[in-house]
Amino acid sequence: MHEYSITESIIKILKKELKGKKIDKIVKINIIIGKYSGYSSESIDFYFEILKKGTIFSSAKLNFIIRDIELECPECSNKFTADSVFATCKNCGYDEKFNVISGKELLIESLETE
Amino acid sequence: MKKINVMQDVLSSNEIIALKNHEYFKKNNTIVFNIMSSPGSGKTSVILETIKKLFNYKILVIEGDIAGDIDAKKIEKSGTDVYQINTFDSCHLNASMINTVIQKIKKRYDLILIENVGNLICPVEYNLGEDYKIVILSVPEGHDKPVKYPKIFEKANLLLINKIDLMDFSDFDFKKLNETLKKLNKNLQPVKISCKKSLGIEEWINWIKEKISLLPG
Repeated sequence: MHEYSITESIIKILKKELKGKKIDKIVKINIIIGKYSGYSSESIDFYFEILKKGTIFSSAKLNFIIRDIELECPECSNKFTADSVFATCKNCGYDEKFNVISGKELLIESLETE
Repeated sequence: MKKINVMQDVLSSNEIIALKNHEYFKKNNTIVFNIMSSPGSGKTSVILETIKKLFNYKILVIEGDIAGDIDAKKIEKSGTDVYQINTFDSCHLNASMINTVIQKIKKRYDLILIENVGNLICPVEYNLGEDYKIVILSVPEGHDKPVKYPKIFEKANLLLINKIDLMDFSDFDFKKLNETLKKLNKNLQPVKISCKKSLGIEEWINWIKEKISLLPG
């Protein structure tokens, strides 16, 4: 459900970005999305297909660049990718709170025009 | 084909307004809590208990609900100033909604209690300009909620465990809850309360008073 307002924000930010630029057609929008961002790329895509109608983005497709969850062990500084923030450090066995280096992102990286 | 680099955080527009809200609150020496939980865990009850105990303070309550004003009417009955926000199609409050309330505020408050829309997912993504995020988890919901909804517990400044009077009828396991919290937010010390039986409220009130005492002036 919260992807609806996020998709609205994506369109709003891009419209602002394109203001004053002479562009006829946007074909692709590249979005960086972390696995721990709290957002579903499928849902953003679903809402985008509805919200793009009648806008400069009507021919555009979303391309999601997925960022893995990368954690850093506060005990031994070991960096590793994990499926979730609930992890165990293979180096020292630490299993409490890790520093999340990446995986929380939700960024509009770029757009591509024809 | 031409590529245009954007590199913008999708939530940046909300963050800008949240910062403006925070500046306003700071300028007015007002402390602001964003109270979040699942529906039915007792946000309104906690607020009612809080305003009862802090009757010497100037308090404003902002109620966020998809629809209706049931909770706002309960607050109004207590004589406390209250604004109702109906979000309609949105499952959370955002900074812009709070900014709209700021535009209408005519006096200074010591404390603003924002009751977010009942939801453990989206509200945490949207900063409102608050000083502290308060999360309420009630005993009937179970101790495993932080495993299922980690982000809200990761960002919380205080965790209230409400309805502790129902512990005898529940499998709620504090040991397991604390084990999960260690992995998410080491500073989070759960405060056990029961609004129904007025248990543990003093600890919560003392926490608020301590935060208010940290304000300059």
